[in-house]
Amino acid sequence: MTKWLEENTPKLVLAPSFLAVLVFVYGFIAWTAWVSLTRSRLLPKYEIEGFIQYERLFASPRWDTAINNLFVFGILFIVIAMVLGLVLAILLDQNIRTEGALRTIYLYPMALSMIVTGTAWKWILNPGLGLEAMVRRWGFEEFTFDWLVNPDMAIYTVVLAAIWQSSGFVMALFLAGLRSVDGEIIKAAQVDGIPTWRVYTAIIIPSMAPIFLSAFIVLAHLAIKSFDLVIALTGGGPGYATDLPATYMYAMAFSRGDIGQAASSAMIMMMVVFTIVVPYLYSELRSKDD
Amino acid sequence: MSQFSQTNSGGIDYRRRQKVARLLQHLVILLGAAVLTIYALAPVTWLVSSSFQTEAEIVSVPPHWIPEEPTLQNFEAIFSATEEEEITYETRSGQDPASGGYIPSTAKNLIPSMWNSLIVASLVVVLNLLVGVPAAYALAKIRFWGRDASVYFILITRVIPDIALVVPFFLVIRKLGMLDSLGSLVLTYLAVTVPFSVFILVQYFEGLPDELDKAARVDGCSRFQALLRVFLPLSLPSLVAVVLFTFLTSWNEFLLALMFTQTEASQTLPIVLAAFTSDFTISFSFINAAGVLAIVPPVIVAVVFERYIVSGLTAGAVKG
Repeated sequence: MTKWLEENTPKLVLAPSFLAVLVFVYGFIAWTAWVSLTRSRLLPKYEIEGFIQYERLFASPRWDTAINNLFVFGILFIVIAMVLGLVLAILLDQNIRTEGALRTIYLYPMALSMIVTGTAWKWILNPGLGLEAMVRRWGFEEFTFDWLVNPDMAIYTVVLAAIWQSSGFVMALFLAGLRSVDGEIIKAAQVDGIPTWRVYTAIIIPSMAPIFLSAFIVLAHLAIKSFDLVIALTGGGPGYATDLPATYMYAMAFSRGDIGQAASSAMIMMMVVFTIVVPYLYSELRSKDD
Repeated sequence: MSQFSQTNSGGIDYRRRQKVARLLQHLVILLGAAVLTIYALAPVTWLVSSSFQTEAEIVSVPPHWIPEEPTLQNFEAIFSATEEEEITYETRSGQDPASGGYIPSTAKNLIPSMWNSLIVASLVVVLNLLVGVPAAYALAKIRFWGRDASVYFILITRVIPDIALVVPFFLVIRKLGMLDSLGSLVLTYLAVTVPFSVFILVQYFEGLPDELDKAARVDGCSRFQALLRVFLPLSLPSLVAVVLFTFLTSWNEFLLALMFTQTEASQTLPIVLAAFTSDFTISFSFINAAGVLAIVPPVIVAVVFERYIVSGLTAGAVKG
């Protein structure tokens, strides 16, 4: 009995995680895929009807806005968060005395719910109360900062808050990367009189390529699942100007009673993730085999 | 003497220019750092500051970053709101909602929702450790048939956005009759967090030498004892990272809670807060006081365990 137990321990202890993953992830993906091929409305139906939901999806102007927003938001968010994270990391890597405190200051937004901090952001972005009012009080009467209520600009407020939340995380990643670069090489370069900025651009940053990739993957993943952020800041508005695929999906599933649409939009989101992540996983697998 | 030779050779000009350039560089860096620090701190500073202000002060232009007449009335309202006594603006201050100071009748849900959040988060943390630690140990340290496949089977789920799976989540929870229960939240949060916990722990266990395992086994430890006595004490940082992550995820989770909860029996803090913010009659300062209560646990966690958050975040990302 104990021998049997000993031999099968790995299977026994893995069973719960395995089962959970099998049902909740793989099973649910298959289920979503199935529902996305039906005419499900308020209740799921299971007769397959082909790609009608996808046709409806791509004919919908609201989905069009959501996808456009995802690209604008995603690209700006990823690029700016990476640049800012790298700058902060290099800054903190200069052996400054307040490093611990600064690291916490930049990192803590990550730990907070956007639902809570969203109210503060909304106030800061509110033209009548926040930044605009403040700068006007300083004497710049012409200053306008009405992004939050401007349909063309509202998506950029989402970018602003998303960067606020995540660049500390990118900083932490890069900082760990900077610290793992071989100090001897840097010293040798300095002895040779190579200026600091050259040491960074020619030696340190190229050696951190894998970290750039990880940061990119995580940020892309965050961008696609952004939901709280939009709900807390703009609620998808004005109109549906700041809808993202996630908020579109939620609106379809729970306020429009259109489960088929929700499922098809979920499948598209999943495909976007896979096109980004699969090459990464592939390279990861290959490096593991080496 | 040296000064003399430098003025003659023109070297001092060069040197001074270099000095000025360096000074400018420092100035730019300092300025940039200051701007970024303000960007990082402003929203929460405002949240905290305004929670101690009256409604009249909070809408004043220019805003008061430091309350002129600090007041605890918002917090008092939250803690004095009970089931028996329905707190409305009439019973509390007799003010007109338009002039602010309006405390919603749902204020009494706030404290229960905090308990709900705490219960759910604690259960998810404990269950994560119970399920995740043995699984990660088995994946990292025991050779068995199908091990590599299992690793990828579980780890690939880390990249699948949970938001894409909510439709089946909802259908199942409804079918099971678990809507509006804490159980629905615990179950689904587990499904979302366990793969990530396993991921962090596998990374860490793999970094510990296999010889430890063998030595413990030679000394007569069972697998279970080897895990408990040898590996767990050594992997404390990763355990802390798992606890932090699962706690923060459960404490802040919004989407699933929004779908599953309906009444105060199961509503968590973010849900009650979101309900406040969509009600335009409620005073900003009251919402912000509630928000301050909601961010106290995460902020404490972030400040005290910052080191572990970093090590958890960078697990697997930084392998050199």
